[in-house]
Parts: sequence; structure tokens; C-alpha cells
Amino acid sequence: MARLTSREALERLRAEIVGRRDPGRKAVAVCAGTGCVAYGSVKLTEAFRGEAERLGMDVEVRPTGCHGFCERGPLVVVYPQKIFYQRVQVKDVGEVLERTVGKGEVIERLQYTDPVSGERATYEEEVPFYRHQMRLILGSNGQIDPTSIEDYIGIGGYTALSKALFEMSREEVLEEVLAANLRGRGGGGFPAGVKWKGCKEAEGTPKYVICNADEGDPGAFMDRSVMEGNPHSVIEGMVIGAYTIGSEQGYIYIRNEYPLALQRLRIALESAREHGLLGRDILGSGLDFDIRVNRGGGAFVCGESSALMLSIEGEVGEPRAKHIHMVEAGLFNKPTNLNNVETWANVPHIVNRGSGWFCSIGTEGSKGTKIFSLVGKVNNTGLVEVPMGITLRDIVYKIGGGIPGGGKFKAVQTGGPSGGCLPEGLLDLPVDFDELTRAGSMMGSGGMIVMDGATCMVDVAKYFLDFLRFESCGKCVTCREGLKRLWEITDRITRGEGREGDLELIEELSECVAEASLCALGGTAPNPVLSTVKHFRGEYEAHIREKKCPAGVCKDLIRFSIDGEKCTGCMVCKKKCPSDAIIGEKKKVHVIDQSKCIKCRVCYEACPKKWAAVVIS
Amino acid sequence: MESGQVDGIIERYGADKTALLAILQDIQGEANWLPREALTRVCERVGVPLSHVYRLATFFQAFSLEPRGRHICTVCMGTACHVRGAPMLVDKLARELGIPAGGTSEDLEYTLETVNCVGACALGPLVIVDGEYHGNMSTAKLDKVMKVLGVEAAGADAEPEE
Amino acid sequence: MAGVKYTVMGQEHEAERGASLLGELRKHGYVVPSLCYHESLTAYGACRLCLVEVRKGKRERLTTSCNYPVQEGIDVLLDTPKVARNRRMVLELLLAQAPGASQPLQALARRYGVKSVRFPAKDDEACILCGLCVRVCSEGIRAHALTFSGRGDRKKLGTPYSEPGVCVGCGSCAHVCPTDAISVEHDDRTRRMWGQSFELARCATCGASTMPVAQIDHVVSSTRLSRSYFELCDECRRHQSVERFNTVMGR
Repeated sequence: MARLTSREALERLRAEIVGRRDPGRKAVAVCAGTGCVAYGSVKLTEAFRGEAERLGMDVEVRPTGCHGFCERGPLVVVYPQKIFYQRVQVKDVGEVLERTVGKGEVIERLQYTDPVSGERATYEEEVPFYRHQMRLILGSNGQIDPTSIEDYIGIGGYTALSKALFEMSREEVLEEVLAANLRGRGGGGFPAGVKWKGCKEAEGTPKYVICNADEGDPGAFMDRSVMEGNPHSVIEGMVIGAYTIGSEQGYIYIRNEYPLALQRLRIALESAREHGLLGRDILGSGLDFDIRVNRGGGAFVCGESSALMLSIEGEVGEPRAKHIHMVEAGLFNKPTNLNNVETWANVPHIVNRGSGWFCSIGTEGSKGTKIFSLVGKVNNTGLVEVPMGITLRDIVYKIGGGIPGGGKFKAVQTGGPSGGCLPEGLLDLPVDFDELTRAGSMMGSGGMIVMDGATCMVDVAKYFLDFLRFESCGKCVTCREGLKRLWEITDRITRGEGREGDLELIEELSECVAEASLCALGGTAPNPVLSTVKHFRGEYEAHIREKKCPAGVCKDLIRFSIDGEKCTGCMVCKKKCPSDAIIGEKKKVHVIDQSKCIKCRVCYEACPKKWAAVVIS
Repeated sequence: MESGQVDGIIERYGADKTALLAILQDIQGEANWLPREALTRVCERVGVPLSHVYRLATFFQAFSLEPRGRHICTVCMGTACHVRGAPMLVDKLARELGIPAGGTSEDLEYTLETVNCVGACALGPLVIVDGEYHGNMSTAKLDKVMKVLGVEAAGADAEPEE
Repeated sequence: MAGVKYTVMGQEHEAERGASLLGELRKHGYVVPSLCYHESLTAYGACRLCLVEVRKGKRERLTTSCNYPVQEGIDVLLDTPKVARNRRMVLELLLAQAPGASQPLQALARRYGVKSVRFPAKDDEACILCGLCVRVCSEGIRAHALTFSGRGDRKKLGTPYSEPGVCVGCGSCAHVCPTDAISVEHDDRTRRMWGQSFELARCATCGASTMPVAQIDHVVSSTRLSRSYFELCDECRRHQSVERFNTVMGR
């Protein structure tokens, strides 16, 4: 493979790739994101290849990045018609090839059927989940094999880099990014252009650009999908950034828990180097820039920029005071620009289509799109990309399809451990950095967790506090001891040992933790507990005053019993009970011995749904 | 672990302080834990005190200073998984395997770990056994997963008696 | 020397740019409490007691002063209601964490108005994880024997693997510890700390115990001081110096 030593060479290669491709070519795209892989899509891909060969069919089988609709995986799209299939199994492979690929026939049982209207969708755009999205970043995932740089070039990849290097000055690129008002997608929402400017103008060399791919928010997997599905988009963004800022060395700090993304990234970096799109004299422009990959070690706090940089330096990730900004003195005390994966992935689009176009999407203060991981108690779980300004209600209901099992919406949690829970009354809030912060939550990196009546908000607060007290670096007394004590109080409340004055103490202590801690982990840590106390105070009071858990979650406040009218005496729960707490004989109503019951829920989940005789009260 | 093996890993990244995390990760990857002799060798070659490496090894959750089991069973404790019942899964696994979360069985067969999100949230709750992802778990479905590990859970094959 | 002008509650002062604000405040006699700061060691910012409010341009920010580098034009506010409120809570948290450190903590608590400790305080713990011992061991004596392990509310202080390790028995850690959390025991011939017994060297003249042999070994091997410097105890060394001086002066 010859290195591309000029912009013309890149264009020639692109023309050649596009020319080689027959738009009418038959192809089967199989989603190979982590979600679908867990559902068996690797075997599915192999099955397609094997069967196609056996049938002597000329069809391309292409594993692609995450399509986003994880709930319905494994996902398959048949080209050229772009027929969309969900929950495809190995046993369906032959039929898909013979009927759909061979004859263009649509197989009904593999189509998406709307659970409410019963309507079937043939193409991806018809599926309600996708219809309301604007998939600028994620859209390409379905079209390319992420391990093929040629696929990326074929859809226009590296056009933005070429344009920036040869048609624009560094100042002009900076102007575009500033005018676009691209705000950090990692959670901070800080204008990327302002960061770039600060770093570009800072004194000192070398300068560094970093991609924060640590994605520590539990419940968020947007960055993972971008890296697994389209790693080159991130690389392209970083090279453009390096050109603008004047950097020759970049880093991608990626979470240890993402082995597939790491693998795809390494392949992409290697092929970019081979093609002269990374390394020395990129495309013959004179720009030298290369990227190193650093793996995280399993520490949420290393998603904080100063901790991340210390980790790269070989130190523990204890954030440091940022009275001197990172853009002036960051990694190795040199000017450093750090941005999130999704932020970098937006850069090529802004360069190609201009800041004017970017600003036409979104709200006054929040431009462009945002990717969210819509998960939890929602029908259509998966990754969604929406224009800023869409309401939470539309995301949860129009895209998410509402709450499963006819449950009732209770809250939606955004912003991860730094964010808050918003109740039904706030569902009409638009997705916007400032609106969400004003409401007591925050945009965060994009995790959006839907909760229903079976979720206990005190338990949720305790969960986040438990997470944070372990992930805190432990330096500041306010964060380390404060979170420990906040957890203790919520724990007591969940065990029925809450006291009058606990809520006031939570509020007082939270204020200190937020105000007097060094970094944003401590600074935002009280948000989950504060927002739940604010919006669900009644639930807390039920736990404290009545020693009741209305959602039926807190073990010490609930009891499991068997409804005598429903129980048929089938013995399943008795056999599965780990503490021998169920008394009963065949065909006779079973009874739970409360003194032995450990509230493990096994009986509740084991009782066949047609009877559902186990009751939680 | 042989010192030659450790040296090989150090060569991969260079004997520099900035490479410490990567070196430790590769040692953990090959040995399944961080043996003390490996750490002392790293200190010698890279020129850092043991106190520093010990600090790194205990700060980052990815590392284990104790030998781990042949089978690693990881339960994701991300928010989405939590809301869908992950703590019950940990409890059941801890009960059936006889080890606490974070622990290893005495015969070094099993290690039960929890991790704060693997990013497969739509499939929650999730249990990873020896690198293989098992999604949409429930306490009932765990029985099958435990069979894979060679552990028979209480009432595993229980069927309703009509 | 790059001097910067700044004010403290309106009062003008000058300092070297980047100097520790806490250090500067104390030089001018302002009273700001702290537990984890030592002017000879890197500032850490763990105890959060040295809080002040800094006004820079339009922004006002609550910050610890030990690790705040003095900048041109800042206005520093001490003891504001915000500072006071947070300091009280910090002390309450510290008292709950380290009930065994009551001496210094109680004095501070009294001074700054802590009324009660509303969190359960379980044992005899005196360590507040301020890190002074770690810093003096690695930056001062440079034995690197102590370290933090773990993270968050499981963070602990000790030696690697909780074994005696490379400690040389100098006692600097106990000396800087603000809460007397490190135990050092002596008898005539030995010093015991961090699980190790250190044989004490003896003065060549009077036979008094001086410092651990291990400490002398360490200092000699890591600096240019010669072993002969450590042969005598402080008292005898002083006598020797005086005698030498008198000899030279012909007295």
C-alpha cells in the first residue's frame, strides 16, 4: 500500500474506491458492536459468509459498528435496498440470503413491528426509534467496516483533514470551531474552540492533544460505539486539532474495560499511518503528528482531565488544583488540549460543512447533536443521537417507546454520578447544557437512565454514593469523608434506621462536599442525592417515618409472601430457595418463613409468570 | 513469573516511569495478577521505589495483588444494570460460589469481581465469564451461566410440578 | 524575581509570582489553620482547612490557599461566612474520622465553632491521611518507605505490603505528623517503628545513643556527608568544634 503523499493522491484513491463499488452491489451488514456481539453476531457473520459461499452467492458480508438499537440485536441491514432486520438468528441466515438478498423479498418475522400500532418497518428510517434521530456521528457506523480505512475514505473520510491542511489556515480552522460553538461532549460542556485557542496561544512546546476515551459514567457507552464503529472519525478530528493548535504528539486514553474498542482503534491507527494520514509529513503537508494509546486502569476519577494526564505520566490519578489551566500547563506541564471522543468526532463535520450549518442544529446555547445511551426501564434501549433541543419526553416516549410492561415513568437520570434525577414534571425540558444544569442535573457524557415505579429513589441515591465513595481518589477530606458519611445516612434510611433531621444533614453536608472539594468529582458528587431529595422527598420520608419502601426494593423494609389465591403448589420456588425458607408440598399453597427469608428475590423471579404468586410488600 | 518475561514486557514500552501502567497491565494480563517478584523487578529496571509501584497497583482497580482464579466472573454494576437488578446477581453468585465479591476461592478456581460499567448497558444486567458476555441476566438465568463454570446452583433445574 | 501585587481584604501585599498563598499569608501574620501543609514540602491540599475566598476579576472562588499560586491582582478574603461554614464541617468530618487525634482537632474545633459531631466515630484512629509523612519520607529523607494505598474511603497509609521494608528509622514521619498518629518507641539501645527494631548508634566519646545505624547508612549513601560526621552525639560534636576553634586561635 503506497503512502498518500499529497491531497491529490488521497482523492485518486477515493475515486478509485468509489469507482470499484457498485451501488447496486448486494451486501449484508451485520452489526458488530459489543451489544450485538454479546448476542452472537460474530457467529452470525460467520454463518452468513459460510452459507453465502455454500450457495455460491456473490454477496459482501460486512461486520459494522454499532447501529444503536441494541434492544433488538442482532441487527442486520440488507443492501442495496437497505432492508432492516432485527433479532436475526443463525437459523435465519439461509432464508435471508435466499429470499431477501436473492429475490428482494421481505421476511415479516424479522422486521421491526411497532408494539403499539402493529406497523411493520421495512427500512431503518421507518423504525420510530430511528425516525426521530439525527444520526450525524453514528449514522456512518452502519455503512462501514470499522477495520477498513478504505470504507471510511469511500464515504468521504479524511476530506475534512485535506481541506483543513490545504485550503485553510490554522486560524481559519480555529474560527470555524469557535463559531460553531462546539461544546464539550464529555460532560463539561466547555466550548472546544475556547480550549483550542487557549492551547494554541499558550507558551511552550511541545503541545499535546488528548482524546478522553475513559467514559467512566456507568450506563454510558456512546464513546465506545464511536470508537468501535468509526475510529477514523476520531483520528481525523484529532489531526485537524493538532494542525490548528500546533501539536505533534497526541494521546488517546481509553478505558481498560473496552477491549474491542481498543483493538479497532489500534487497527485504525496502523492503517492511518500506512496511508500517510498520521505520522510524518501527513499527506505531504509538512505536518508531523502521531498518536499514542494509553489504557486506563479502572479508575473513574481518571476521566477528570488532570487525573488523566497524571495517569499518562505514570502517577496515580489524583486530580490537582487547576488554578493554572491545562491548556497552559497540562501533560508534563506543557500546553495540552483535551477533548472527549464525541467532541473530536464532530470536528470533521464542522470543517466540511461549516459552522453555519452546525449552528442551524440545536438551541441557542447548545449546537449540534448529542448521542445518548438510553437505557434502564425503557422499551427501546440503545444509542440515540438527537439534535439539541429535543425534549426528554420525546426521547423517552417517541424514540424510547415508553416504559416496558405497562409500567409508569418515575424518573430519568442524566449526567451519570455528576448528574441528577428528573421527575415526570420536568420531562418537557429540552436537551440543552444550561437547561439541564439549571434543573439540578446536567448533560453529562450522555447516559440517560429511565426509571419506573419499581425503582427506589433512595436506593438510587445510595447506589451513586457507593460508586462515588469508592471512585473518589481520596485526597480531600470533604470528598472522601463527606461521601462516606452521605452514604452512611442513606444506607441507614434504606435499612429503616432513618431519623428526623437526616434530610437536613444530607443537605448541609452536601453543600460542603460540593463547595470545598478540589475537583469536579467531589464538586458534583452530591447531585444525585440532592436531586432525589428535592424531587422525591416524600419517598425519603416514607422510609424515615413509616419505615416503608414504596417501590419494594429496600430489603429491610419489604417482605416476600406468597398469594394463596395464585399459588398452585408447583414447588419451583421451594427448590430454588437458597435458605430453605419456603414451606410447602406439591399442589399445596406454599408459605415463606419470614425468619429465614434473606430477600434474595429468587422466588419472585422463578415463579412462572402465568401465576406470579410471589408478592413484595 | 520469570524475570525474563517481565523484562520482555518492559522492553515493549521502555523502562520509563510513564510506561508503568502499561507494563503493569501486561503483567496482569499474562500472570492473571501482579506477583510481588514481578513488581520488584519492575522497580529495579525502571528505577522507581516499590512504594510508588505499590501505590499504582492498589489505586487502580484493574490490578490484583492476590492470585486470581482460573475462571473470572465479573458482574457489571453500572447504573442501568443496577436498576435492572445486578446486586441480586452478585448476591447469588457470592452465595453459590462461596466467595465474597472481589474474592477468590481457596482452590483458585473462581474469582468474583464487580466492575463499574463495561458499556453494554442495553443488555443489562450483565455477567462476564472468562471474557464472554452474558446479557439480560436474571437470578433464574444465572443457573445456566453457573453450569458453564461447573457450579450447580440450588434448585438449578427446578421445573414446576403440575 | 517576578513580583506580583495582591490584596488581602483590601490590604496590599507583594509576593513572588506562583508562591503558595498560604505561605505568604502566614508571613504577614494572618491566621489560617491547616494540618497538611509544611513549607518545605509540596503542597497537597488534603485537609481543606486552609480555605479562603479569592476574588479574581469578576469571579469569586472558594479555594484552599496552600496550593493556590499567588497571582497579580487577586483579592483574598479570610473568614467569610462561606469559609467559616465549610471549615466547621471539615472539622466535624475530621473529628469523626480520627477521634484518636482529639488533641489538635479539639483545639481547632473549639476555635472555629464546631458544636457537635453528628457522624459515628468508631475507633481509635488518629491518622487523617494528610500525607505529610509520605511527603517527608519521599521528598525529605528520601527513603520512600511510606505510601498511600487504595482509593476513596478505603485509602490507607502504610508501608508496601504492610511490611517494615526500607524504613531507616529516622522518625521524620512522626515528627511532622500533625495528629501524633505514628508510634515510635524507644529504649536505651533501640527505636521501634513501622514494625521494625532499629539499633541506635552510639557516640564515640560519651556512649549516648544517637540515631539508628540504618539512618546513618542511608544518609551517607545518598548524600556527600561522611560517616565521621555521625560519630559523635550533638553535645560532644559541639565540644569538639569549640576545642578545635580554641586550638586554631591558640587559646
